[in-house]
Amino acid sequence: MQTAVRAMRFDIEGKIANDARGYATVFAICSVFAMFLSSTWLSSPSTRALAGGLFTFVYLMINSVFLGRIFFYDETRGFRVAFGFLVLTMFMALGGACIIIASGFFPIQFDLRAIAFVLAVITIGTSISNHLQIRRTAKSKTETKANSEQGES
Amino acid sequence: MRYERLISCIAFIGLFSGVVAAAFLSVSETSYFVVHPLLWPIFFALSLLVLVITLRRNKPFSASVKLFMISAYSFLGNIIHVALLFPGLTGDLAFHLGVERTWDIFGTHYMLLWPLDTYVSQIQGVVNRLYIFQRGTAQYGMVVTLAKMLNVDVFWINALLIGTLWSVFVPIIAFKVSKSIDKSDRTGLLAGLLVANLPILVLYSWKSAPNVFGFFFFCLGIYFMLKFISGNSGRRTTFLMLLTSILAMLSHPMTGILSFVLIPLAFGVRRYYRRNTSSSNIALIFLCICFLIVAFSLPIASILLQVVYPTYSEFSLQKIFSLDIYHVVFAEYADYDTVAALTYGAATILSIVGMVAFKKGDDNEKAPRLFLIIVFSALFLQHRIFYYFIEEPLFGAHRLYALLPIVTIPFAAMVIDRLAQNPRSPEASTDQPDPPSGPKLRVNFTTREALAIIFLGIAVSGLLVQGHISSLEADAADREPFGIVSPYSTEVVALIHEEFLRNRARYVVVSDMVTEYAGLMFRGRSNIDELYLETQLNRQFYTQTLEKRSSESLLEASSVNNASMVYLTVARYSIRMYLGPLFSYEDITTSLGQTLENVAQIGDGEREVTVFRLTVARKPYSGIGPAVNVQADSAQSQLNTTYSYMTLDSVEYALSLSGATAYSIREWPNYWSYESISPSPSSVLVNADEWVNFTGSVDINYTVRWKASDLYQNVVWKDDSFMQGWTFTGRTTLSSHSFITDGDVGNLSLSGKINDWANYQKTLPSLTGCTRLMIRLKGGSNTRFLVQLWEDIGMGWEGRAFTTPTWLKPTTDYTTYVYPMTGNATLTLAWLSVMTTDGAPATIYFDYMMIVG
Repeated sequence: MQTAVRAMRFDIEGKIANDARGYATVFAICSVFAMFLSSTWLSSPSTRALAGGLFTFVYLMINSVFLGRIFFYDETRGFRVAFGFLVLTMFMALGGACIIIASGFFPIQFDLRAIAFVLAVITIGTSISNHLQIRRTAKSKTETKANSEQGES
Repeated sequence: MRYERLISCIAFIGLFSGVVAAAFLSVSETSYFVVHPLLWPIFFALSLLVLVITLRRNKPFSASVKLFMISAYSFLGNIIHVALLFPGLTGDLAFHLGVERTWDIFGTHYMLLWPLDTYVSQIQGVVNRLYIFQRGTAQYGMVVTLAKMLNVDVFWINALLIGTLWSVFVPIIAFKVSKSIDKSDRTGLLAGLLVANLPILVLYSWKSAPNVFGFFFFCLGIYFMLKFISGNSGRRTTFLMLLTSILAMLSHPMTGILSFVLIPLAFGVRRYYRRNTSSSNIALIFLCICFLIVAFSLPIASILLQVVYPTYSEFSLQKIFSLDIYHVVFAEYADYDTVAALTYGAATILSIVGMVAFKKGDDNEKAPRLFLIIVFSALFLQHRIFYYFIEEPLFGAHRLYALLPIVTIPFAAMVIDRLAQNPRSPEASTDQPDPPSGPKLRVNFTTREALAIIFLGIAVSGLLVQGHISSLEADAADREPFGIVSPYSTEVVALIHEEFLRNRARYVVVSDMVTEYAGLMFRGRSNIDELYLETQLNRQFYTQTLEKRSSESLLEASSVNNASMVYLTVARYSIRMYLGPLFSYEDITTSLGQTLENVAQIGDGEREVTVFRLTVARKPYSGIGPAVNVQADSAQSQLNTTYSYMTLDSVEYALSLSGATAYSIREWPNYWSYESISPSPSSVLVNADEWVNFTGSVDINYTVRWKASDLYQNVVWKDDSFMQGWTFTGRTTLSSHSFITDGDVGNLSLSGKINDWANYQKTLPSLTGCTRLMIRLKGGSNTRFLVQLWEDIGMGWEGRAFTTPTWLKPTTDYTTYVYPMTGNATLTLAWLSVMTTDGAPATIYFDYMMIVG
């Protein structure tokens, strides 16, 4: 039972990280739109907070896994996700800070739309980096395999 | 022990819940800070449990579970402060929440919102403007983004974000930092526990302020630098180092500058240990240059910052000569008592011992250890440069102490680890990572090791608990009740906001300091529709209103944002704080209640707040007033006056006269005070108590004016002319004194020594049922006045029926002061006293003195 649970947990992290068909990326971007729409459409504060919490969790989870794989692939799984989350918060802080600073020079507002834009850009950027990483890893694995096969032959 | 894991879990959860319960039971609305008596004992027991679990090698949990427990414990330590000091502290923290609130509501910088503020428009240079707008943006960006994502109030993110980040991630970061210099899991866990909970950091770690975010990014940056030094990873780790440095800079200049200058040092150390023989000297020279850059970076930046921002930091040799030998050696520690010195200094001493004892490790550990030792030395040197040579240093040199633990504590953890180690146990002889725990594992656990663990556990637990107590003392106990944002003040802010949502009328709030901060926290800074006046401007209007007990200052405040409503919040504590112990909260609120609409009285005790409202008229109310007796040349008649007022406590009555050469006016209401005739007549004779006679031209239309407070019409006695009855009764040391009048204004002048005073008295016709004293006057900045009314002066102080609370400083424009009195005294004598504060000639101009029944 414990092994099954552990395997399932591993599988979720792995599936998000591999993101072969880009489902995780789409989920993350959809969660950004859902955050935007829930804060605009829902009137009850508790429902909004509940919806916000759910979509934020999805967003943070997916992007933390992506960033963990990109920057901390040599760490164990727990540390990888934890540090991935830290890097994600740093990107969010940097995005927010950039808009804030830009508003001192240009007529830009740091509002929900700007935040949704920053979050979407982060997801797209991390997703592209993640896919490049996957491709590089697959390529190096293929090369290693080919080299070993050549050696054997 | 078979059930050790289960028992440990139950004990941990039980003690954890106990601390939470005790912390929340401590939350109260009383004015003074009360902590539940069981809070610290339970917290001590929990600390001891966590330490024993941490120190017990391989038992009863794995390192990751222990790390989770340490994070949970650290989170609890942070939450205690948030709960006990709910809803937060005044000052810096409220200020930053106010800025975040402004971003949240308006999506723009508060400086850009303020139409009257010319500060931003004066900053023309791109660099200067960039500096202004980048300050604290990492915090604001992160807090507002998360608040929008989660759809929760920005207050909660502000209150919980940094504490959560700190308690969850700093143990992990410290664990990883420690692992880079020592393979032992126990050292890493101890480092995680200590860095997250060390007294010097507990003081900061829960506070949502840019420098704390800066500390956090600095810690993270140190980890990435060590990763860079010890690993082969290149570009990605370099990118992460740069990213953390940028965010540290966007949080606070101090952490930002330090983070940036540490990057070349990391390159230097890496190069030093990868050198070949031919480049060893170059590597060493590069390392020394990096060290000097780090050591001098902040002091130089502190001085150079005045290029982009008005600061006054400068290099000075005078400073070190003004210090005694204790301060030269121990710096701030020279001012600490033994407990404080041990609380804040014990870990550093252990760290230094660790640095000396373990400065060399194996090949992988040498470079990280050298890097940390160099950073510690540079920070220490930097602090001393600030302390000895920089006048008015920026960034707060004491904050450098908060940067040290991430660098030093891994060495202290190594010392503790070795102290708790049984030298005969197999682990003691190796420096290998701990093997994974499991039910089959058997480890020798001697009595000696158990005693060492318990002794160390008690000592470190005591240190951690004392850190929390000292932190709370510094934050709250010394500054009650105005150091903490009162729940009543937040209710006041909510009440006023609800009113705004109903009527959408723009308002301005003149408030006590705590309500001011609550307003900034919940309605933002420079919110033009819901404006809470800040700092000096607010204080000026507030004290003037309390002293005068009139709405004049509030009307002036309404012009700041062209508000149609002015709210005044009067907190009980603020009366003593701003006006002194002799003023009474009840008297002031009663007097103000006559002039202003009393909206609500919230709470009780020291934090009680009364809310008043003044609706500002767009234009003065005007109409026909009472008639007065006028003799124009020989014709006598009753002529109507006109009135005009913004508030009833300051009504102007006017009479227009023309077509005659001589006028005599009599029989105006007793509560009026004669003011002026315009244009100036040819000649005028006034007895402001009874009549005004003047001559002028037939063709000119003259306007005679009176001032009155229509709130107090039942005047039982007044002196508007100061023409008779006032006699000098003291003081003999004066070089000169006089009390002269033009029939309207009495000028009481004196000169003499510093704080000399002149006293004049007048007999009253045995007045009874007196409820209020009104006096209108003005004076120079070197004058003070005191009014006393006597029932029976023969009885000494017992016979005094009324006195103004103390010697009061008059305003330079005419102001009416209103004081309530107990109505049961029979007044027989009035005293007017005037003081010169510098001994130079001083005059106070008395317009009138009235006693209201």
